[in-house]
Amino acid sequence: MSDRITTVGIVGAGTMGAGIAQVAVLSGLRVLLHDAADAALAKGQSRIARNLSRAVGKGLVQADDAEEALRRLSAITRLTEVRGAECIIEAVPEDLSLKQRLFAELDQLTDPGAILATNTSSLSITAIAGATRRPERVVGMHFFNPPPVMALVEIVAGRRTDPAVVEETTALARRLGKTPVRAKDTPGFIVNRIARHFSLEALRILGEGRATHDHIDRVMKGAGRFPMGPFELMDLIGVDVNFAVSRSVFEAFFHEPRFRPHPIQQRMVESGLLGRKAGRGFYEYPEDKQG
Amino acid sequence: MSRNILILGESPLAGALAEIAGAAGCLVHRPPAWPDTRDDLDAIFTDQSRREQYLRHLGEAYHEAEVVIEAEASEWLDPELPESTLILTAALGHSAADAAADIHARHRVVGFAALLPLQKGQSVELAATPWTEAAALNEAGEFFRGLGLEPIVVTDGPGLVFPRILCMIINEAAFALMEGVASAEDIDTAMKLGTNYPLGPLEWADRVGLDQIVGVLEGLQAEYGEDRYRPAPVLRQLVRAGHLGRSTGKGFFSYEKP
Repeated sequence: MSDRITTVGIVGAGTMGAGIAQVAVLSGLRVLLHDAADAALAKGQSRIARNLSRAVGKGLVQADDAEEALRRLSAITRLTEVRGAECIIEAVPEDLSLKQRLFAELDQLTDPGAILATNTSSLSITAIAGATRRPERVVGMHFFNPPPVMALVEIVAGRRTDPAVVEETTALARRLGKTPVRAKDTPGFIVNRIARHFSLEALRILGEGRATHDHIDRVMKGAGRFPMGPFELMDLIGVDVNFAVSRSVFEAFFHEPRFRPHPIQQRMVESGLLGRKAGRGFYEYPEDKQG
Repeated sequence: MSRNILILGESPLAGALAEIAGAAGCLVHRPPAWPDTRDDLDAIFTDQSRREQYLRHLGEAYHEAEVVIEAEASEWLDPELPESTLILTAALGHSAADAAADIHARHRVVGFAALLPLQKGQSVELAATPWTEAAALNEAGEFFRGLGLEPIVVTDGPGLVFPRILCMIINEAAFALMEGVASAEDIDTAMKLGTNYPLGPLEWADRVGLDQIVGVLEGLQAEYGEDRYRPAPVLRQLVRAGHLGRSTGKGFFSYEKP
């Protein structure tokens, strides 16, 4: 079972990779963190150190525990050094050919019994597994952003994933203090599929001129008790990110009309109104841009 | 707020509105045995003696109603309602204009949309039809505010804003369940933890009532003529089996009979 996993390799030290690494070292696992770019690796490492010291400052983590956790973290500059891990979690950008190349390489250099997990949010696990000689040991472990805060992990079985590997990664997610759910390898898995309609149907209503974006947000919060309205949420995660996921799910479902993206999204992206990070999306964020 | 209110329809939403209005001090009348279906309704009101019997049954509630809230069109009652009565019609399975088209006092008709669970402080959407007079829309807003609900005016259409979006989310969860993507429990857990929804879509569906959800989706499908809105077969199957959700003890999940 997952108890035999003592060391986790994490490839990709961005927000997701570093976040998963932080959770893993705090849960008592050794982590080998790698990024193809040395600068990104250093940045990920310092982000983890900074987050841990903040958690100590807030009294969420004991100073000793944070220190020990940091000692369990090794930044590795060469991918081959990941070979000591029993489970490797990939968290590189959402590009199928990039991931397939990486998995082919991991397949060559790791122990044949090692689990190769991908943190993809919208690509097919089966397609990634196809790049290896061990599709039965490839599985999806989809964490949510930011991993230290979000409790959910979608465990996704590809077409040929061994049920024992699903069991092991489910148990591993629990050891990380997360709540695992199981999903079949279908476009968007559970969350990114069902949540599409929160923004897509809101965009349709906006596009038809039935209500303004702030009216729709008010209704969804006031009548539905959603914590954020769809337009606030799109601004937060990035209008471009939301559009990219919408397109990917629409394509993967062979143009099922329920998932059709909306031209408003495209125009917003074309005009650089990407949301909070751009200082303007559906709403304006003057202070965010200055800071 | 002590007003005479006549609430027509047997749906759980009608029940919840009756409860909230009663708690707010309104005099609430709910006609016993209001027909379940449109056909039953037509049968009563096209038969002279049954019609008179029914109206006698309603008695004063009918002649003194200041506000009529209806889930099913009340054009049969309409001719004899006081001229000043405000008629609130649920814009769920159809637009408010669709319902108002058959009503004589259509200038007094205002559409509204809300779904269970309904609580004080929650928003209720209002929509004018092409015939609604401004005063009626204002009165409707005041009425809901008096019940402790927050009115928000939007443009008319099936399901207005919140029910339309929520029904699409629930429909997708139903498709995913049907296709074996995940278990009902895992779907609800994922949506609550992954997106911070206040309820999982399937337990939410059971509270709203699956018949209500199919109604909104069919209304949208009819209005737009688009496949996008077709209800997941599993929703229709559950409705056909009489498993409407919490109110019947079974929907996507099972409940103790209320």
